[in-house]
Formats: sequence, structure tokens, C-alpha cells
Amino acid sequence: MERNVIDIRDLRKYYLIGDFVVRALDGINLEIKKGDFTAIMGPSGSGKSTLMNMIGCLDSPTSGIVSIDGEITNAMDEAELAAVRNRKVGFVFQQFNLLPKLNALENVITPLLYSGNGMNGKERRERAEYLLERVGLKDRMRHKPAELSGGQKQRVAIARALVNNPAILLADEPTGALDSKTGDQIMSLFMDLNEEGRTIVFVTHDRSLGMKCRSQVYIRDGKILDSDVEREY
Amino acid sequence: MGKYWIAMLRENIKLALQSMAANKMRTLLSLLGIVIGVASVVAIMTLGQSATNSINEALEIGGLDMVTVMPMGSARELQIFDETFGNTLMKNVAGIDAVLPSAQTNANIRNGQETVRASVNGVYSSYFDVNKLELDDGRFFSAADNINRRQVAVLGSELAEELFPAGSAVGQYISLFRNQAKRYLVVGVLSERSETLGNTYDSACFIPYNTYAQRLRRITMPSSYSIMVAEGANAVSVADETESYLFRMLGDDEYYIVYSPATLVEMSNDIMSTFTLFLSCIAGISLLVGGIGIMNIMLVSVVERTREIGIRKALGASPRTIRGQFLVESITITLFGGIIGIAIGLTLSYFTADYAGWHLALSYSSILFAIGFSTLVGVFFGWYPALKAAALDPIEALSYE
Repeated sequence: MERNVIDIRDLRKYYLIGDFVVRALDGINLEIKKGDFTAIMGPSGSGKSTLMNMIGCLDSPTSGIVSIDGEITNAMDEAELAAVRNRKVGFVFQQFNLLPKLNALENVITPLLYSGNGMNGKERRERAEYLLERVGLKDRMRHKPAELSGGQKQRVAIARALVNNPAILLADEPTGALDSKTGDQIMSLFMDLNEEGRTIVFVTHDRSLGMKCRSQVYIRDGKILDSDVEREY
Repeated sequence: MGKYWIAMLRENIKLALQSMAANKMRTLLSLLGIVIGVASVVAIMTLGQSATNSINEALEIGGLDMVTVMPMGSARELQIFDETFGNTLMKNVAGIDAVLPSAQTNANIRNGQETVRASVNGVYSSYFDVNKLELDDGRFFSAADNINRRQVAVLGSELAEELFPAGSAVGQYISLFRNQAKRYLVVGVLSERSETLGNTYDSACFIPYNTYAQRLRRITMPSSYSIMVAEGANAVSVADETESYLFRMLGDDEYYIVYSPATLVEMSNDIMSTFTLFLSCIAGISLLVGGIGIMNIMLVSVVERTREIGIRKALGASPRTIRGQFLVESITITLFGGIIGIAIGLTLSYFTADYAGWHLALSYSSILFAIGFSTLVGVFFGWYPALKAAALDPIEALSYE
């Protein structure tokens, strides 16, 4: 039996704001298998961002278990979480979040530097070049983010997310800052990557985008309402 | 693992240089404190060393293996300074090779129409060697000249020039006037010697001690003794022991003067190193102030780059990696300032030494010190901002506008 890439059991995240306990996540159970293309959908304030941060190992839960590709992150310290983020999770953000002073190639190389995987400079560059070619930016490698269009920036971000061959590609509204045509192109890039077997978690509040994913998870008030069933919200 | 750290270090240095280049004016201003501090430390230490060396050089011309004793008072008061003084002193103070008395008076010296009033010294033939005097022409007088009380003279270069402006003095005769005129054969002329400790060899005339005593003036008490320090003995301790011997014998230190170049060298070294240390401390304070400037700029930089830090953390940078990045940046800045400071300090030293006529003594220890200290300043004042950067929450940092 194949192990789940993401395995979440009774995950809770409570915040104390003043005298109120805010239950951002309130008992989430979620399994995502290798090769899945899952949309996590919900209105703002539903807890989907918190869930995304949990999957991305940016945040630690109040209770429950989060397992990312077999790594149980609950008891990890910051350095260990950073290592899991680096090796297992590839982030793609709405605002691209490229490092502005570095060119496209250097941006893609950065996670390789943090991984300490023993690659030398040439191997790192070749890996980054291969991925930039893969996302269609062969002739933009030496450009700084400011010299790239929104769609190109997001392609660089996707190449960067893939560079350590992560278990999950975690995308947070990746088309939110793009016009619809460019957004469609980025979306079809994600679909291609999934065709190649890449596990993708796609966080969005846009229903039509979510429907393009293979499966959907709806969140509201920190709970999963239903899976694979379209709900009005 | 080693390769990984080298790659990270190279990346961090590159990032540091990029961020310095991106804020040129700000970097420059924040560097100023370090630059000024390092430049002053380097200049002070280098110039201190140069000045010390040049003082020592001047003192060493007189010979470090010599101690001079000058009796101060009348022969009646100071009866120990008689013919036996040399032997008595050698019995009481260890490490003495020889004690050479010399006598000095002023006399008129004439050659034809030229008459010059000059200091005439009655000395032993080894006096020249002890005082490291060299010949320009002719020879020194010998022990035989002394024993036989020959009327021979060695002239200082300036005196020779005055008396014999036309040609060589060697082989010529001069007349020495005291109560009556006596003719002396000039056998040698000294090389020019810059003045040290008030010894004006250039304008003096030297004749054998015994000749002086018998033919020029009776010697009731020598005017000074040159003490030759034995090889391997310490001139400073010989000087000290001589001084305490004389104090025991005479009971008062106003009856004699003991001086030795070695003692003066030691004294000048002490004074100069204290002085240099004092000035370096002041310059060190400006380094400290410069360091605070660096800390300030690093704190601003951490706030400005909050989002960058968040992105890096999302990409898998551990707190340690982030701390390393900012530490390397602050060290790069201070080291850069240190190198500029060293260049300015050395340039300053070069021109000052040139102006003062000193040989520039490159103080490598000051350069090493400056590099080491500016690195230390970078680590010390970069530590807190780096910790702050490392401790940022990735989620908050990512949403920072």
C-alpha cells in the first residue's frame, strides 16, 4: 500500500485573541496521495490559509498530527521544519515572492543552496537551467524579477518550487495576481506537472479554478465540509 | 558538509556585496566610523613604531655597549675619581671590559691665518672604537702615540674643514694654544657624525690622553669615563649598578652623571609604547562607536528585508542559515571598512613619516590587529541584528509589506 504524501489527523489550531479562543482549524482529517491534484477551497477566514501553512510546515498545530511524506512535523524545532520545507514542499505564492536582487537562475538555485545535498556549483546551475527550460523561460534566465512579466515571474517561482524535487507542490492562489489569459497558461502548466505525476495542493477561493483540479476539499470555520462534492459557499 | 559551507559562505558574501552596492551612500556613511577608527589605529601604531625606531637609531649610533660617567664637582670633593677609579669600578661592578678616562678643555687651534676655538679632548686610542667613530682620512692615533706622549691630533670633520678649507688636513700641523703654543701633527680626520646626546664630535679635536696631561693641561680629575660593557653583559644593568656604586661611595646623586644609550633606548621604548597604547585606546573607542553605527544599519536592514527573510525561510533556510547570512553581511561591511581604513592609515603614516624624516616601520601587527578587530566588531555588533532576523516568524515575515 502506498503511503499518503499528506496525512493529517484531527488537526487543531487555536489562537487566543484577548479573551476569545479563535479556532482556526478545528479537527481536520485529510489524506492526499501521490499524484493527487487537490484544491483546498473556502472563503477568506475559513482556515484554508492556516491549513496551507500547516502543510507547508510554516506553522505548528495546537494538537493533532501532520505527516508530510512520512515526516511527522509536530515535535520538530525550527531548523528541522526548515529542512522539511526545503526538501518536501515547493511553495508557489500569489505574489510570486521572488528574491528581487537575484536573477531568475539565482532564484531557482537558492533552495538548492539551503539543501546541502552535495551538488557542486555546476550541478546546481544545470538543475536550475533544466527547470527554467521546463517552464519555458530558457531565454530569460539572467533577468531580474523586475524585468519579467507576471506570468514569467510565476514560472520562475514554479521552477524554484520544483528544484529540490519536493513531495508536494503547494500553490496559494497562484493565478490571483495574473490576468485571466496568463492565469490559464499557469493553470495548464500545473495540470501538465500533475500529468507527469507531481502531487499538487492548490489553495484557492476561485471555484472555477478549483474545479479544474482533480479533487476538491471545502473548508469553512476550520472544518472540512465535504470532499469531492461541490457546495455553494 | 564542508563544500556546503563554502558554497553558502560564497553566496552570503555575494549577497552582502550586492546589498552594499544597492545602498552605496548608506553603506559608506555607516562605514565611516570603522574607517576612521581603523585608520587611526593603524596610523598611530605605525607612526609610534617609526618614531621609536628613529629615536633608537639615533641613540644606537653612540654604541649600546657603552656607559658614560661624568664626575660633577671638584677633584677635592670627589676623591674617588682618581687614577684607580677604573680598577675600583671594575672590581665592584660586573660586566665591564675597560674604563677609559678622558679629559676635555677648550683651546684655540691655529693653522696659518685660521684660528678656531674648539673643544680639545685627551683620550685613549680605544676611545674611537668605543664611540664607534669612523675615519674620513688618515689614521687614529695609537697606544704607542699615547705612551710616548706624541703631539698628534685627530680632528672632527667640521673643525678640519674650518682649519684646512683648501685641502686635506692629514700630515699638516696645527698649533694648540693653552699657556703656550705647541705644534701637533694631524694624523686623521673623522667622518661626519650627526649629533647625539650633545656629543659634538664634528667640531672637536682629539689628542692622546697622556700628551694632554703632560703637555696641555694637568689632569686633576678626568672630565668623563667611557665604560666599555663586556660582551654578553647587559649595558642597562651595568649602568644601574655603576650608578648605585657611585651613590654608595658619594652619598649624593648630584656628584655624578651616568648615562648610557641602552638606558635611554629602554626609556624611550617605554615612553613610546605607553604613549602609543594610550592613543590606540582612544582610536579603539572610535572603532567601538563605528561598530554601533554598523549595528544600527544592520537593524534597519533586517526590518527592510523582513519579506526577503520570510521568502528565504519558506524556501528552507534554517534560523542558523539566516543568522549566518546577516553575520557574514556585517562582517563583510566591517572588513571592507577595515581595509579602507588600513589603506588610509598607511597613506597617512607614509606622508607623516616622510615629513618627519623617519623610516616608515610597517607595523604588520597593527594591520593584523585592525583586520582582526574589525571582524570582531562585525561579529559583535552584527550578532543581535542577525539573531533578530533568524527569529522572525516566517508567516508574519511573508505577509510583511
